[in-house]
Amino acid sequence: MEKVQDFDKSRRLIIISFWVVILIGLPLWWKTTEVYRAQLPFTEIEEWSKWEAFDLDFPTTFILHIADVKSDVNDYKTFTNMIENSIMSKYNSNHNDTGYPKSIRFPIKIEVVKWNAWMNVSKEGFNSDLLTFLVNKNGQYGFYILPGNNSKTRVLVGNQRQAIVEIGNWNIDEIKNIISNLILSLFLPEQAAIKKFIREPSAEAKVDVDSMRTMKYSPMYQVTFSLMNGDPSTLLVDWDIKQAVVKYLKPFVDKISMISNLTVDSQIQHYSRLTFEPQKNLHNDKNYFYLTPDLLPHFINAAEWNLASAVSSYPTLNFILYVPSKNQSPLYIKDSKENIIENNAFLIPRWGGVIINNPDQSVGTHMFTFDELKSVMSIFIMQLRGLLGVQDVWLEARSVLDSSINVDFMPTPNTAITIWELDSLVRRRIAENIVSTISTLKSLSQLVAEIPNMVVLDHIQTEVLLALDSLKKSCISLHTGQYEIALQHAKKAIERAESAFFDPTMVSMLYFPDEHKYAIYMPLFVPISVPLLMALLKELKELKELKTKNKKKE
Amino acid sequence: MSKVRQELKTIEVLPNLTGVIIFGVAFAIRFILFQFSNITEILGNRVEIVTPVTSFTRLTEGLYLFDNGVPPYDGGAFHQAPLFLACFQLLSYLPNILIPLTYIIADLLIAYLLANITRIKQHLYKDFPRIDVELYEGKPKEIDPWIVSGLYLFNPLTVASCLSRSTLLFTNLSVVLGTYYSLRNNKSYGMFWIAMATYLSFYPLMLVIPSILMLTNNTNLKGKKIENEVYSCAGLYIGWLTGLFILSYLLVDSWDFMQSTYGVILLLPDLTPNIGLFWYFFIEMFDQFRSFFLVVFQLHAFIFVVPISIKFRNHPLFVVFLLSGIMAVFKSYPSIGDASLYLAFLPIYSEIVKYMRYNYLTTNIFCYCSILSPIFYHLWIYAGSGNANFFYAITLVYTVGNIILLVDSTFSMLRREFDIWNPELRHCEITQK
Repeated sequence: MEKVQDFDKSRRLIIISFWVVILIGLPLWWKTTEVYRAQLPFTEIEEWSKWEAFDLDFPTTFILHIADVKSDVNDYKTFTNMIENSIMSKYNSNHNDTGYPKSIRFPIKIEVVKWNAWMNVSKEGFNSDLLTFLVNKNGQYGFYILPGNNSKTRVLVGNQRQAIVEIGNWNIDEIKNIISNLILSLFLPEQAAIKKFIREPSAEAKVDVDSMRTMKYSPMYQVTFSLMNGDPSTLLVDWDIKQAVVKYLKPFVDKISMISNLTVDSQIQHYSRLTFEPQKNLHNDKNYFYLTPDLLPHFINAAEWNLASAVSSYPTLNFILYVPSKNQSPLYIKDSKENIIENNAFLIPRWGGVIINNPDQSVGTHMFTFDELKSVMSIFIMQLRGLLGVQDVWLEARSVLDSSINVDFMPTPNTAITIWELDSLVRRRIAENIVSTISTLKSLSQLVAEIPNMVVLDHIQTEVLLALDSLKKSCISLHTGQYEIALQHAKKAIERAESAFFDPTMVSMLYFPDEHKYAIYMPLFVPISVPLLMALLKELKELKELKTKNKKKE
Repeated sequence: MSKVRQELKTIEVLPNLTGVIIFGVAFAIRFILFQFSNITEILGNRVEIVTPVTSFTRLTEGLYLFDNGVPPYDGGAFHQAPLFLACFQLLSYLPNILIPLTYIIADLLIAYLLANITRIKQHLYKDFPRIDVELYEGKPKEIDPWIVSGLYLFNPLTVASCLSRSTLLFTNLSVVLGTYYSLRNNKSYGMFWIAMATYLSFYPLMLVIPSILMLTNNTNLKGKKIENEVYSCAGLYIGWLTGLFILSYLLVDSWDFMQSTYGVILLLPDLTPNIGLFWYFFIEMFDQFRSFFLVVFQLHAFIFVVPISIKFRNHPLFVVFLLSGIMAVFKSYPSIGDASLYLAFLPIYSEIVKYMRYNYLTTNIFCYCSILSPIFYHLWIYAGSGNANFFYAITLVYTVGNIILLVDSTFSMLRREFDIWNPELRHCEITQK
């Protein structure tokens, strides 16, 4: 009997010892599967995304230097008001569209200055004289207005932020009309673009040519120039790309570095064949090959051309100078009307540009010299401008303006981007970055709110807070018209928001609904728990029986 | 009975011809094979034999750093106890031949101690009741202690593990020494060697309980209180362990070794394949659950300690056998050296072999794994015609084989006990209620 009791006791102890370990395990279970969530500023993000915290100003100041001519244009104050009203009424007319947030504004300021020295100014000396007047700051533009010799109105655009307007018919209404039209045609397209960003934060929402062509913003792009040689057995090619890049591209890279840094590299690839046979010209005795517009999308041989770069993870812009093989040359591009395109180049939206060049194949080697590359590089730079979203504000304005107004340009230093274009691009990038930061943060907060199992680590919280802080700073700088500072903050904001959103610790948690948890626990714990539970239940039952027996005995 | 206890200290296996032959041949085999450096190289790189925490190559790396005054744990490759650094630095000043000799002698020492343990066990069980089939002309038939040594020394797993220069051998030596001294009722040595084994590879921590059982089983007859004895044993153990840690701290001058040795054993940052269950599981594990399943796996290895110790409190040596087996299967970086240790304890309880039901199966599983695991590893890593599942499947089979053996021997032990106490029921099948 004693033996049996001893046996029972040790069995009970064994069951207890198993359960003790499990009880020790329970708090550890709780602790180790706890979902760590740093607090995110949800309400603040919500305010931003509803444009409540949002107060965007894009102020512009126009300094009108008006020639001191004896006429009725002497009451500058009323004149200022007249122009301001005329411009603001146009600006506001667009506000009637629904869907614009009230808090986006384009305030303008007009300053009128009496210009005495106008008589001395000949067109040749115009540039150097006027530079001293200008505050070199984005958002401030000077117009020099003087009466013209004939009745025609002419505009001469300077290479800084200034323009000379020669007005044929010198009276106050005419001046007002011309100046306000000029300003409107210069700035309305940009405003429309900015408003569009805000209305449709995702650029993909609505397809239009510009947004399709322009790359998604990145603070850094890699630009790769590739010389593709179709058949090195008949022609060996080389190019003087280093010198060409330094000479032709570097000024542009330096200018645009304020918005995005470009790193440039180059390569030569041999045996880069096309995936298809180009069409052969059969109509007349001229023997050439050509590509039709429907063939162009297949031009890039993605499978064989090694264009992916392992150097950086930033988006790459590819520029290809293609030399066709002997049995496919000369090779031209035809447009949809069957005309050969003159520059033999095409742009691939959001990817890069291609130029086809047909050098003389008879010699066996061909070196693209520095001079030869000039035309090539100028096409590439045009394509690069398009890809980076540079818009020629004056050309656009000219197409809108009255045809009687004659627009001329002063020769610009060779930077491939004028200061007007750069300013406009800066403003558009600020708006775009602010808007995409907000939408990224909004998606992040939605994701975190929807998936309760998602771990939010402290550094995510830090990034989000810093992004919001940069957003605020960017908006404050915008108020005071400091566009450069606003751009730097907007860049930081988007970088931080994206690094929080694409953080690996967030992505790995994306696929954890509760059902998965059960699927993870079940195979391990059900088989273990069944014998343990059964043993426990049996033991409890026996104890109960023992008690009732003892009672009966009593 | 107390006379038996007192005799313990003087019991010694007497050398006989069998013993001399076994040890001589075992020494010769090891010594000759150690001369072929490519054999030790190949074995020293097999994932089945060495693990990141026992690899001699990694020890050499740590030693090199240590010699050059760089903190040895900075490289992230060395995960072994600092004492190894001191010992092997000492050995490196002596002739080269001493390193293989150290391994051979450690192996032979384990075998010699196993023979002694067998002898002591036979002495302790002298007056235990037996079943009549175990008696031969009134005297119990018992295994020759030298045979136990021989089974250890000629086990291919032992030979391979020794030749690979895996430092696990010293853990095994410490475990056997600890068991030996505990059986001889030498409290301080017994606890020291268990502390040493814990210090070298953490898991022998669980052997503290059977060692204390061995030590207290002897003393309760002398009128001392069991509790005091348990406390003094635990105190000794903790004291020795602390001493070893402090000594290590003085050697490497920082506590980094804790993170690099026990941290690695517990948290499993190195997922090099081995024959255990951990690596594959934690490669596949979702990061979020990693810490949780680490807790589960490590607790699982320790969950058996108390129940087994309670059940077999009268056979602490058998508890050592079972726990060594559990370590060999469920530790984070197991190798065949762990299996060779627990397999060495099995023949000491030779009387249970006749009850074992799956001898044929387990023998086959061991053979099958020994052949297939190198092949599947090759297919996966070198030929590229298999994947990780091939090798993992073999490690699963190996684990299942070990578990069947452990369960089977537990069953046999219990069944034999039952038969001894209930001779009248011997021919009935046992079923659980």
